[in-house]
Amino acid sequence: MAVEVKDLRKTFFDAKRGEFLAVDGISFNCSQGEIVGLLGPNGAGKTTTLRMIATILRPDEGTAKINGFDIMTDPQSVRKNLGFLSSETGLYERLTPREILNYFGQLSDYPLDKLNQRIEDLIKLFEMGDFADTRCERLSTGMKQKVSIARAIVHDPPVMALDEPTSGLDIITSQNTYQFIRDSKAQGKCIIFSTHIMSEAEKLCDRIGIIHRGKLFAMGTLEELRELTGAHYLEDIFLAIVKEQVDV
Amino acid sequence: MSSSTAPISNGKPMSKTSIVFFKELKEVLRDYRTLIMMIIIPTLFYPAMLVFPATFAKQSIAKLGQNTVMVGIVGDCEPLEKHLQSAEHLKVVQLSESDYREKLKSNQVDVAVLVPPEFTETVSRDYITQQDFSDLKKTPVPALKLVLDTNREKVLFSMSNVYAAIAEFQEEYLKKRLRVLDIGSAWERETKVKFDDVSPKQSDTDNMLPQFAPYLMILMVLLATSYPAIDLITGERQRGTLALLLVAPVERRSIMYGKIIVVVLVGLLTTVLGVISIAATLQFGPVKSTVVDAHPQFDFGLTAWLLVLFVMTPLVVFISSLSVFVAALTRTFQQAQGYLFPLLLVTLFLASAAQIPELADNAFLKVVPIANTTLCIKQIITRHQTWQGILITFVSSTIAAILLARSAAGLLQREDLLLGVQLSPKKKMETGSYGRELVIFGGIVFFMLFYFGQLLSLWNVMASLVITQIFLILCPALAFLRYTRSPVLETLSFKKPSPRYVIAALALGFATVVISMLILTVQTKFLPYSEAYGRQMQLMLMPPGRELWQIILVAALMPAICEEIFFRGVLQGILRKNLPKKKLILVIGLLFGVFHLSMFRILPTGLLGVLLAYLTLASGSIFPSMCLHFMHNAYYLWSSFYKVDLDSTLCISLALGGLVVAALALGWKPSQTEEK
Repeated sequence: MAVEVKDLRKTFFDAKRGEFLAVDGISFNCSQGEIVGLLGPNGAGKTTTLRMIATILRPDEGTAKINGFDIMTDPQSVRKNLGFLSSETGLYERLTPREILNYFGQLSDYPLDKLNQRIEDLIKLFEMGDFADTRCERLSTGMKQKVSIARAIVHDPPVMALDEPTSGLDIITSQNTYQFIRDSKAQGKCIIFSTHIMSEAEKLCDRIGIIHRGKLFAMGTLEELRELTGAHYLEDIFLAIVKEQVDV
Repeated sequence: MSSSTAPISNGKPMSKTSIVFFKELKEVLRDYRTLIMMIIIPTLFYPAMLVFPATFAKQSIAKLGQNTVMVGIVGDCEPLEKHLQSAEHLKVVQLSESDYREKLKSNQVDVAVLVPPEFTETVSRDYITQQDFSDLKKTPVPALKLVLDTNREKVLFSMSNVYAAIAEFQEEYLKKRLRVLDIGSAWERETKVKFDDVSPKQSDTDNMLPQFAPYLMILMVLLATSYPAIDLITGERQRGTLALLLVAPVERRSIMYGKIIVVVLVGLLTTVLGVISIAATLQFGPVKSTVVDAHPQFDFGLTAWLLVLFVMTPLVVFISSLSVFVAALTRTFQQAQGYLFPLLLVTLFLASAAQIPELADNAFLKVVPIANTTLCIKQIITRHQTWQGILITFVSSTIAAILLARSAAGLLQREDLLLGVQLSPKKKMETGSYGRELVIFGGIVFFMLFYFGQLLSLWNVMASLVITQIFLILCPALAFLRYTRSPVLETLSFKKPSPRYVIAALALGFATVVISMLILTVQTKFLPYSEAYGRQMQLMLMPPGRELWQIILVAALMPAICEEIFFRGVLQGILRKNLPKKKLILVIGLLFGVFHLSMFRILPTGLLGVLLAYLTLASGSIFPSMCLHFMHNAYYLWSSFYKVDLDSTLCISLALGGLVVAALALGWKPSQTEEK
């Protein structure tokens, strides 16, 4: 398995709710060439889960293995094997796309003799030739999204964690992102992908996990989920699962 | 720093810190705001600040002296009036007794000269009649009265013309009088006085330069480093790029060090440029004649500036780390700017401490960052520097800078700061994440004690003790406890103690008084006890007209409760979660010493604080330390009240006895059931 998540738990606090479990014992796997989607409303715990997998946050309990490396004991190796992209991540406005790719390539220990070639390939792949040497502050949203994706995979990681990558993007830019995800799957990468958009999950994911209030209620292919709930559309499936679980 | 390395094209490995550093440097150099603060402001603005006020003040003072002063004469004295009319820069008008105040108020006249009728009478009589000397003594010439508003600058700076004219009149009068008395020829041999001012061009503005220059430099570094620090840390967080770095295989410390080095570089460049431009302005600018040439006592030579740069270097690292530290605590630019203002105030406060003449020789000040450098720069300029002073300043600032840089570098480990994740009070207690709150809380209480506590004690000693203990110590402590939502009884260690700790505390009461006295005696050899402080202490603890029991109630029982709840209760209760035991005891002891607001008491009171902290930690209860605190203060007051000779054999024997009893009580291991 490229990714093994085991019983992750994380407690947060806010003045209104007091202490609460943002992630409550989530476990799942994802293998190479597979796209696993985490589907849930805002505040369900998707981002926190992905942040723990990406070693940005430290779980209170549980752990995860990325390409065999444990997030708790060997976070540096995890980072080398992981590409992380989120709608919230930005770019260095005063640097050019080429400089950003070079910076993260170096930081990720990508072999330096091959780094320039890798950057050229990415510029070609994402059609960034026209603006590769323009400062990011002057780029459009679509251009920035291309740079963000290229940045996330400059070190050619086998595993990718994508946290609502299309949030706030227009249709065309979103399509580019979908295409990139499909291409990555074709290359045998393992992709964990969070979203609250049902259609996105339906279209892209091999398996879908339903997350609500920090808990993973169900995980399976669309067919399996249909069988489980008797509903056809993902929206209904989601509601059926969540309602049943919450009622209990 | 990180040992992880990445190869670069020329084959040499480049550390992650260097990769971060070069990238940050590139970004900083592409930011015009940083460039303005770093280059334009030190090279243009600071020299201008130095030149303009000095030149402007000088010119306006000179101009004010040239103004015509309106002099209103109330009364009738022709010789005086004529004399004033003939004087330069004076215009004389006649005023009546009833309207001169009105005219002064409305600025129609600048000064009113009240001439009493007797004055006129005496003067005119003296001019014409020959009088008996004995009569003169009986009827002295009545005084002239000048009425003016010294708040008006024009009046203040041009009054010299009025004084000079009146003095001339007095001299004239005297001469005439001598002639009338026919002794003129014998007495008219004038003794003239010529003034030779050794600093003829000196004005107050120039004199302020040695005071002003260090301020300027420290301000310059703080302003130059705070912007890039906020941009590189808060900005990175706000723009959403920090997460990218956190998922890259880089140690978080390497990221921070890379950033700190860039900020230090900006600070150093600013300092070098600032010093060069200030030195060049003084050497070649329009103020050379009025500042440099006129003040041979000041050193503006190359060596002096190099020394200034030398002592500034560790301070730049310190201030840069401070800026990074503050930036790391903030999540938005607005928040960071909000933090910058108090930081500026604290910096200026420390810088101004060195300007107080009595503090200049204080050994303690030489190890306080910012204050020591300000003092050192001032001493270099006024040629009062010593090599020891420069070395102590350099070494202590370097140590402070390294410590601060290290703690700033650790801040990226904290999730609450990184992602705005809030920790629950319970978790904060467990992980000891109340550091920031504790520093702010401690700082506020310290300043309140410093200002209000001291002010209150000027008013009424006993009342000030009560108010200080309740409102400045107990209430803030309980409020902080409430704020952190800490479990009250557990945090304050309100628990029934094992009797052996109470016995030890009671036995130690007298011993600690004797030991404190002995420490003070030894300490006085190195740190002479200020007499003024001794008197103040005496007055504070032994207010005249009070009974001993009243004093003990206020100065022993109240501190034993309030101060113990503050130090051993709240501070120790919160800090014990994240400090190892030995460190905790030392920190609490040191804070206890420092909060007593006196250099002389840091050591003896600090040691008592260590003992009290140990007792609380070992017994798990605050009550033994309350007992000891009470006994210590009560014995001290009693011995002062009855003037007991504490280093007598009897007292020392009693103290030793107490120590033995305490050692036995603390060393005695109870059986398990008893402990339960």
